Amino acid sequence: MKTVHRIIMVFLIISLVAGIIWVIYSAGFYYLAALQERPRLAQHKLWKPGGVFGHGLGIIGGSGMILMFVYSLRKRIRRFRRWGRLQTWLNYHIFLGIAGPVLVTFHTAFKFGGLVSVSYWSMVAVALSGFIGRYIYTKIPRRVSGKELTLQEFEEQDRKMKGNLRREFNLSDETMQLIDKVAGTEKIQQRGLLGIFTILSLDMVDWFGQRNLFTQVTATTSIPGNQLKAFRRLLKKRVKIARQIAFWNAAHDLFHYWHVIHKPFAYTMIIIMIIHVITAVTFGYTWILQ
Amino acid sequence: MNLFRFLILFFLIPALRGQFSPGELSKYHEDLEGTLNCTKCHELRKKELSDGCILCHSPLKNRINAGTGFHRDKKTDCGDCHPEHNGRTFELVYWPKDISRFDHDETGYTLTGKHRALKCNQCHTGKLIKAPDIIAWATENSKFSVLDRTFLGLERKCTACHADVHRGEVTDDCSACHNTDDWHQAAKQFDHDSARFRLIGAHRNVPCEKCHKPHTTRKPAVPQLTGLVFDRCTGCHEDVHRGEVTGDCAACHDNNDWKRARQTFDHGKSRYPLTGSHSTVVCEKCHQPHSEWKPVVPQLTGLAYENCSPCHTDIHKGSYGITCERCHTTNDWKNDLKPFDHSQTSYPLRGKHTEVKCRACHTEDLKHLPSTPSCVTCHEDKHFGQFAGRADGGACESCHTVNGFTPATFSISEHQTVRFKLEGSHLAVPCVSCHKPYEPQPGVSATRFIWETVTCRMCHEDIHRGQFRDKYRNDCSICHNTILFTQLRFDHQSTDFPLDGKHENVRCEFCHKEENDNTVKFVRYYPVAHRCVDCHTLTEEFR
Repeated sequence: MKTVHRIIMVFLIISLVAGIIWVIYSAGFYYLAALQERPRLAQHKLWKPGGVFGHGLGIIGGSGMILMFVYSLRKRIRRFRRWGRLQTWLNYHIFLGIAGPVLVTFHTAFKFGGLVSVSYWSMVAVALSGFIGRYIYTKIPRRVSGKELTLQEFEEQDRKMKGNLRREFNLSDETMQLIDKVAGTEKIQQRGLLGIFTILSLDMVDWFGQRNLFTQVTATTSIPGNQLKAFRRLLKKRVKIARQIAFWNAAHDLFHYWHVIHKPFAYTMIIIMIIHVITAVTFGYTWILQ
Repeated sequence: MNLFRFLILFFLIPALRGQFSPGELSKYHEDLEGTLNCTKCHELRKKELSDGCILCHSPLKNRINAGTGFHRDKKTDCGDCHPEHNGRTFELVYWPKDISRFDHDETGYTLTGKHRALKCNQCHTGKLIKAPDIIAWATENSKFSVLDRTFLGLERKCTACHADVHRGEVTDDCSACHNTDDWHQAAKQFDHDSARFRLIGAHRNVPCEKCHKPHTTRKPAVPQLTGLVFDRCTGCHEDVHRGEVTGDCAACHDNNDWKRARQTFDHGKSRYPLTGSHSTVVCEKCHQPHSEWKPVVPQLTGLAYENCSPCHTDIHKGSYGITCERCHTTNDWKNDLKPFDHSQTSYPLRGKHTEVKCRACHTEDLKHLPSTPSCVTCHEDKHFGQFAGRADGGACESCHTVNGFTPATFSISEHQTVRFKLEGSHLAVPCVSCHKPYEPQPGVSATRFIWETVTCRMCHEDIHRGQFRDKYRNDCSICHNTILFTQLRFDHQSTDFPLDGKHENVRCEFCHKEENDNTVKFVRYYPVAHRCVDCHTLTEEFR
């Protein structure tokens, strides 16, 4: 099943990218034109928000945004818990959370105003917060199934990791302390909720400057060249776990607050979107459906 | 949830104020902004706007219903061309090709000629708009200077923009005379056939101003188009005949050439219809110009046409009166004479005279004939005055008749009355045997009828060769008669040698012998040797 979903996801991503390319190719000039010039362009009839293509993008994007709520149902309603892995649903949720805003953005033709703009910006807020949520989500350790680990389980796992690291690569105490220092666990713990920014900055340093971290630590060791790759993988894992443990409490609090932000934007978006759709249909904008 | 409520209050409530709108309306529809106003333009469950638009834009609706103007045949929704909700500064009327390149044909009013070069606002300006619905609408929507912006409301008639310089003198259908290429070229455009006075002939070439003279009191000076006197020619043309003839000029003149009156005028309608050669005579020959008039025009009335003499010279000098028509016709004065009853004259024609052509006697050089004509008036005296000494003066009719010069009526019986009476064999002799040709004048031959003295020798040859000239004065009758030449009545006893004795029985030729004078032979009668020895031989007996 996992493979099937992967294929579906790849197909969806390719379709999305192809669709975006087609839209940009076809309507790029239109979107770049000044708002007051657009009604004079030939593309206006097709690509305006109420046009055949523009309206279609809105319907597809809006439908995607509504489909995202299936994830919430799956997550919250007991009856739906048997419906596949939550992680899979999350993947679709994330895809729709990306594809929907993109398509809706094209639907708006980059013209944001009126009540529906609240829905749009709420959607943008939901999407952006989704990225943040997803980031915070990664800071909370889970089993392979996606279920959260308890702190004790996680600390036990960390202890095993440290033991393995020290044993396999014969690391000194100084090196182990250097790893903790590089992981920034102390600083993360001290900053509480704001520790997310510390993690973010450290992650950024790691993403873009991992070589320095690796060079700094390996300089204190005498690991043979053929083991460096394995050391590096283990080191990364260790640093991640150390940071997760240091951010454990703050991460849970932050995730709670994130929900408080993410959900209202989502509701605002969906309510106004429904009003928008009702208004549009009321005034005869039924797309190709007459 | 507090934050959720806050967000709703923060975003939703202010947004609901009127922000169902997809965008700000243009400044022209600013008053329609607001959620509650949507249905003023939009109809529920209907995307098209048109009904909503023309509900307010009633002047446009009026024109669409009337099938006029640019929008009359537009099938698309108003919003397709005039999209709204694009912001305050968005202009709802858009000129894709630039307003100066607008195809005015689409309005149903094609711009032609100089109209094509005009700028829109030279016509489409508030002060020229007269349509009541537009003016009313503009008043209702006075926020914007509608009259200066709208393209509606102009009347199509020319006077909507152009001043009527004719001041209502003609209809307002200016295109009947003017075109848009050149306002002043009315002459080329106007179909004068549509006027009450149709132009015919040379009138077509007359410049308009010749008849349509400008109103002198008006500025600009435009030609007078109505009120012209056209029911008679003298409305424009001077009556050069000064009332000499009636006002119906067309009776003589036509429209092609004023001066060709002769070809038009039906002289048959005049009191003197032209017949024969008169119909080919140039008018001026009779209708000579009034010498004292300017311009010089022919005299048309007052001509004496009762008789011929005012025009024709009487070559007969009054000999035959003034009733020329008794002999002459108008076909040919000289040659086509009427059959003339010559019997009414002092010289009735008879005999061959009836066959003679008039001109044979009535020659031009003759001028006129004597009242008592004689033959020699016409005939030559073939006898060259031989009979002038006759008692009748040589009157021809004594011998000739009008039935022919020959034969003459002079018969034998008449001949017996003249000096030389015919007797004997003379009665049987043809006239020409005696009356032979002679030359009265050198080179002219005539027949001799009269002699001073009549002798036998005039006709007969003297076969005696003058033997009796002295003795008998050539008087043939002493011996001969007219019966027979040889029937002699000569008495030899009366001669110097009377016959007696045996001489009576002697044959004449015994004494009168034949001689020859080298040309002809003749008998010697006198003198004849009449001594005895001249005939007798002296014998011994008598010696």
